[in-house]
Amino acid sequence: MRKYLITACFLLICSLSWAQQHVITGTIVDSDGPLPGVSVYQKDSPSRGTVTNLEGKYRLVLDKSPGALSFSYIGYLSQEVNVAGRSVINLTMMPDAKGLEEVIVIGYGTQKRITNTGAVSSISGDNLRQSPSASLQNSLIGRVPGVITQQQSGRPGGDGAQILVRGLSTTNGNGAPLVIVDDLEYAGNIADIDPDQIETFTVLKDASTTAVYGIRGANGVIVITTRRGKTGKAQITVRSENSLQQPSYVPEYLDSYESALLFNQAVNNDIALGIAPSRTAFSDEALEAFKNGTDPYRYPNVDWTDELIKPFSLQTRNNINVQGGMEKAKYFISAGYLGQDGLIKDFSQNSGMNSNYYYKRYNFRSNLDVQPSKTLTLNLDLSGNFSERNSPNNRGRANHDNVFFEISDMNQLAPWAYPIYNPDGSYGINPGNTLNNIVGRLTEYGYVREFRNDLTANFRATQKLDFITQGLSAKGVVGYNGYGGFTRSLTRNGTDGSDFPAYSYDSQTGSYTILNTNIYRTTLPNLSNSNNAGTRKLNWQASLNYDRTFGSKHRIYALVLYNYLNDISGADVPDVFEGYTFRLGYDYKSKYLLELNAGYNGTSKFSQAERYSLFPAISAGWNISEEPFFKDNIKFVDLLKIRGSYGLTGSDNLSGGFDYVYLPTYDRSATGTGESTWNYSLGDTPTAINGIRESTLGNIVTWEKEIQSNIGLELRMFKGSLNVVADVYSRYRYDILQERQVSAASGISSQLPPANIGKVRNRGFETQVTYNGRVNDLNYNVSGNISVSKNKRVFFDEPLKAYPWKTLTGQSIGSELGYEFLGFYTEADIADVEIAKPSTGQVFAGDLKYSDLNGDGIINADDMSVMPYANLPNTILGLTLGANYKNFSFSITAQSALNFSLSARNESVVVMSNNFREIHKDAWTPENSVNPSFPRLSTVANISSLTTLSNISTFWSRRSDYLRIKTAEIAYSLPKELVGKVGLGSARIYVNGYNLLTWSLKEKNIYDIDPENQARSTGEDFYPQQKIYNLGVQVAF
Amino acid sequence: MLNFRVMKMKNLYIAYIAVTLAIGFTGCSKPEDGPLERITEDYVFDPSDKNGKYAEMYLNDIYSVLPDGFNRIDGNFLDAATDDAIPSQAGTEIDAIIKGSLSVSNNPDDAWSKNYESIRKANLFLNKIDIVPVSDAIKNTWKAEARFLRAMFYFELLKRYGGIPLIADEVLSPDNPKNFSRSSFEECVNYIVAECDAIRDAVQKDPLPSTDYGRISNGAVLALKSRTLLYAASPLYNGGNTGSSPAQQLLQGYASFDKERWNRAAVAANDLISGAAGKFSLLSAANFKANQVFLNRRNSEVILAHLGADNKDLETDNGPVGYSNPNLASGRTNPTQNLVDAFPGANGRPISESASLYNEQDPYSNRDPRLAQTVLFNGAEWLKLPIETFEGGKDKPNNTTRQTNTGYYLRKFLGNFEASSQYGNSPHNYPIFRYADMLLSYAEAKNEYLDAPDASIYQVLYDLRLRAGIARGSQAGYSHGLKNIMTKEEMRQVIRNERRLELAFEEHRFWDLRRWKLADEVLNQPLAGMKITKAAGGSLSFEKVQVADIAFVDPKMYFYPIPDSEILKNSNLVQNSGW
Repeated sequence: MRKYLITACFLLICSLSWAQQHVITGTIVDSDGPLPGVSVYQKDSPSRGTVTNLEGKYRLVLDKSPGALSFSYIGYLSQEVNVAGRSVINLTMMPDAKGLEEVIVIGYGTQKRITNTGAVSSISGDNLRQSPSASLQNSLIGRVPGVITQQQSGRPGGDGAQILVRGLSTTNGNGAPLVIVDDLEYAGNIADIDPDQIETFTVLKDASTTAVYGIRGANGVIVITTRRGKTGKAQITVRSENSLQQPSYVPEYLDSYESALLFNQAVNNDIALGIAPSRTAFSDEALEAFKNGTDPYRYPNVDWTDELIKPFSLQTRNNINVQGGMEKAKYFISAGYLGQDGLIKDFSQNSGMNSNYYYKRYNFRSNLDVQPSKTLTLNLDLSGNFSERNSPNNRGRANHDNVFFEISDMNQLAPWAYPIYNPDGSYGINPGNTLNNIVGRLTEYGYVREFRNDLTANFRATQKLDFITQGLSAKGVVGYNGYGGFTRSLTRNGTDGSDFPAYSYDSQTGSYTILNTNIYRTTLPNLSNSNNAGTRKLNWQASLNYDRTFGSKHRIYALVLYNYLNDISGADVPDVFEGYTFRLGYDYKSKYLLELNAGYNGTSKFSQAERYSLFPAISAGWNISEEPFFKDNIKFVDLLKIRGSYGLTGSDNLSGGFDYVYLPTYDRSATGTGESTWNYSLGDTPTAINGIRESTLGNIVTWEKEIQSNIGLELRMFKGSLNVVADVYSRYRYDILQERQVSAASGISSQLPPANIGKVRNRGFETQVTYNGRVNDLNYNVSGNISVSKNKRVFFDEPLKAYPWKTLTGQSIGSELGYEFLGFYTEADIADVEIAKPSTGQVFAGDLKYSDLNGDGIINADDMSVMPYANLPNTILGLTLGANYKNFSFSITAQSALNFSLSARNESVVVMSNNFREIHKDAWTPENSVNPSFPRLSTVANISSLTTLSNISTFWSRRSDYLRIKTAEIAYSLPKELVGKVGLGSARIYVNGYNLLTWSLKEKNIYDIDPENQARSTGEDFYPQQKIYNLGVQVAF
Repeated sequence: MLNFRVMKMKNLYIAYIAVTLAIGFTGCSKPEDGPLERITEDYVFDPSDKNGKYAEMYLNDIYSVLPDGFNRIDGNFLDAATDDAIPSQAGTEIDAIIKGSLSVSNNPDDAWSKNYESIRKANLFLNKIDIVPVSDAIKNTWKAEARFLRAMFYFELLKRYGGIPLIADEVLSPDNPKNFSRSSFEECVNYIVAECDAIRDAVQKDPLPSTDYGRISNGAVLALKSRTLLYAASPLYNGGNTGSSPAQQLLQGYASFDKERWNRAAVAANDLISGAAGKFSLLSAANFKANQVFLNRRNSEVILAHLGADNKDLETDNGPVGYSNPNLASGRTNPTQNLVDAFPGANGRPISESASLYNEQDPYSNRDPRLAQTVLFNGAEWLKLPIETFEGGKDKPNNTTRQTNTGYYLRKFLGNFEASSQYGNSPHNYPIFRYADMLLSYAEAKNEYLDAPDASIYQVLYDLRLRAGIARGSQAGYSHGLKNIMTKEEMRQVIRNERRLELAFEEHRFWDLRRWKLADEVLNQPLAGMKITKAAGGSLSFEKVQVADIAFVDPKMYFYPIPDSEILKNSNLVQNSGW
């Protein structure tokens, strides 16, 4: 209705000057044939336009004084043709071989690549869609220079990689970049953005591009633009993918016989050395039974991985999008579904509660563009996703509520632990187990199910103000983003078998003994729920934009923008972010480029006096290739640009605790109880007294700041075939909030507020080289990139260390102290008093020998030094090969991460705590003393066991550098004639994969887990990273 | 033309709406300035709050930091690091003290940060309280209480570390962190004494009103002064300086011996004793026998205690292990044979003397009644059952790691559960100062000052023994088991042993052995327990066996090391000798 009204108004206005109709038609082709989707519009009246159809044809009704028609298409040179006297215009579009017109997205706007002076890398939505990974950021890995990623988990709904722009520069927060989707700060999880909706994905990396985001720019900015409708008939695209997922690494545990042999080896080792073993060895009878499987109830031999874990889990992704429009209104509508299944076998099907891991996500987006007048554009975007994440409530030992942990746990789930089922079909158990039968638990213990709803409404209006001065426009944005959710848990949470019966079966007498005599039936489950507080963000922006070229030489462009963001979450104080953004640029014939950017903004997290600050940046570029002396002489170079930037940005992404640190806090005891020292009473009859104490002191602090400088080179040669972009940067983060070290005699050492004292230097470079070539019908491209980011903690008020090697200042973030592994102690070493021994515990041949750094003959904490590598890689390499031949296309991306270490879950290698694996067979023994893979097996903890962090060493912390085939795709497009017959526009079938093959480059992976795993992720979140094999079909109508 | 004007008007109109919307939206939603619900300093010390409610709560909080000695070192009494007891659990933190492996980075009794935090609390209170418009009378009392607490915290530091930095009244902020230097031992003693003198009349008089019981009284101030001077006069500091450099000597005691220090200590103790009428006195023999010193929340003997709600923590932590839920207990601190042997016979004569009537095969009969009040031994009644610490008995079954290592369990401080079937809540308030310890301090100081003990010293011992249940007796030349005429040295031994018995497990022995400079001798000897074997016929045989070692590294362990973290942060701090 409203549309009609607007149209009616418009017609009324226009009809005053209505005189005659001028219709023009034509066919647009390129060298390969008809070119659909070319924009055709009247140059002085851009709202009067259309796009070519599948046959490359168009028809356009022009107004009285048509002047020229403009033809444009991404990747092709634009053309203008004078209409005068013509009714048919046919054109051949020429590819933009030099890529000079390519437009890139920057903060609050766009810029032609040729005149851009900042460090920006981007990837198109099409390329992102080549990866089957469920999380958006995983598709970037190895493809976008300047992005450092690490995928730490494979859990459905939690497999998104940690993503860092140019590495990590801070010790606070996660260093995550700011994510902007269509001008609005994105509050949700980047993994939940459906790649189907993405037009471009751009990473802003230096100060000149991020200063406009001021206080939020220092960690880099990711700008995502979503797809929008184009004029023309409705185009419907349907994509359906079905994938198989499989862990990239599966820990393989030995069977009962082999495990028992190693178990006995550990016991016998101890006995031989006169150590009292903490366990009793298996008898020969038991070994025999394990070996022959003669009595599987008394001597079970269960392959728990096999029994509990599926070889594959399924993933489904389906999308549909519809786009099209008329002159005045265009639309892009998309809906998607993602389903990821978990690896646990479907035990819970019969209990009526699905307790497997799974993730379901529904995405939608509706982008509408309306042009009520020639100069006014309105955009209304609605988008959101609804997700459901499930995990089993298996109630494992301690806080390890995780099946994958349990499978590794020898104390509960050794291969000989218990038979899953007794001969009568009841659950088996061993009375020595503190946890009930695991299959029973996975069947009966229910689930935790997290629901989350994320909604965004984004309304934008752009008004051209050419009547004031040419090139001026105003824009307003109102955005709403809200998310909330709740968790539902259905569980039987008894312990020691108080929830379902399990029996230990005596195979000799045939008798059954119940685990818990109070329970002979399965109890009723408990239901509980919790609501997440939910968050609501409101964002207003108003801006004036100016861009005009004078005399085709002097281009001046400017932006003034006001931005206000109000973030309310539960009972928290509303977080307010407010500020102004300025941009002023000048270029002379696209040759000399100069741009000033600034954000003046603040956040309510800091005290009023310290709330606002200016973040300026300057950048300049010189297109040498535009100079006549160059242009005339070196013809094979299309573009040679040198650019540089320098500026200041800030970060208020400080993770929790740092909000309002300017306020001192006082704690009040609620009723005189609580903390034990607060349990004080006075009076003849004990009367609890209330106390108030100072907690963290207040300190007027401000956000972190970062000075960034960047020098870049862009080179394009051979008609755009070879592209090189190289950037070198230096980032200096200072004012990092950290605690000072203050003498405890001041009385405040435990209540110190953070102060702006930390400093981190982060230097690096990135290069991308791309080559596009063609041999007859074969188009191919090769693209390689390298990203290096090395950080160093320049200052963090570290107390003086007793020994210089313990000093973490000057080391990279995340560095740890550990022993330096020298080899294994030999008998001779043990006898030699000159060779250093540990200060505590006995040491024997076959134990790990560490270097005695201070030379005192004792190995203790004083000998732990900074280990050479942290858990975060500092170098990422990527290589993508692509080709298409007729209807086939192919692409493959190999990715490598270098210079990092992995010290895995304690439990994955700890003898007597962890199930035995192949690696343990190569443990040190007197016979196997030359270069074994593992120290002497023992039943008691010693210097060689990785039971605590105090035993970390370079033996356990392994270099984890890897090379992997990250993604690969082969696609076939069905011939158009063929699909046309069945009424389809196009059809494409493809197979692709993710994490297909992995090689460890430096050291043996002794943990059998994915090299990207987070160091020592022992807890509830461990879930193996996945390989994905995917089959997809894409059909357009 | 018309078209142009219409368009222009329309554009202006839209621009106007856009601008007003943008301004309008932002204008109407001024955010809260911060978390308004937080307690701020202005609210705690509020110039408009005549009740001073939060200010008082701030002061109350400082009370909760008063020393509390129950099972405080990783579940053990500090006395488990002396010859009086050992821990039952292996591998607890107290081992570092017992085994002499204390280090600059590992001290389970490190009190440095905790006391300095508390000193800061007191200083903040003293700095801010004048803002609060409560009456001067209340305010002055509060200030005096805060000053006492501060002095108490300094004393806690002094006995551990020697001279420590004196912060005076300064409230430090993170912006002006100082690199403090340690004040000399003498300056610290003088400071504490001067503070006590300054506030003795500003605090409330004894006895305190019913609702204020537990607050600082005049008696507590005098007691702190007395104890400080007693320590200062003791051999470790007074003539036995262990400092190895001139700087360390200043921190670890006085330059030379001065007998007058003993006099000051005696006078200070007597100050309290002579004014005690109507305020403090020893309990009657009957009440003492009923453990009322520790089980009666308020009694005439306790001068200052760390007060808490009634509970059964001590019973479940230290009680014998041979009882099941709800009387399950951990038996944490096990008294040694060494302590048991220090208790005389019932007539007061040491068991090494035949006149004591001590019988090795019936070792617990005919003993100083305080033995049974301090230690649970085999055969003693507990929860309606006799204690069985013979090998294999219910309280020493030898199949668990949670049982006595010495054959004894702690009895002192526990409720009177001999005839109860179940533990209940009882008062467990750790006595910081009590009248008996003031009497013993007086006796010790006086004896050291005089060339030969005078009647007042004998009287202290007679009073304590009498009320403990050791009668004067009829043996010629002896009263209450003590020789009627003793030399100064004999009297010194008697007083020291009496302190050990009377004040057992009140955290005196640990510090006394140090200030007497006896730790290197006493704490380097084997510790014994009692192995009791029950024959088939039920008869018991007793055998003293060595159960543990204790090590004291001489002389460095006379002082705790200043924590490593502190020395590394503040290079002005001189470390104690040997560390």
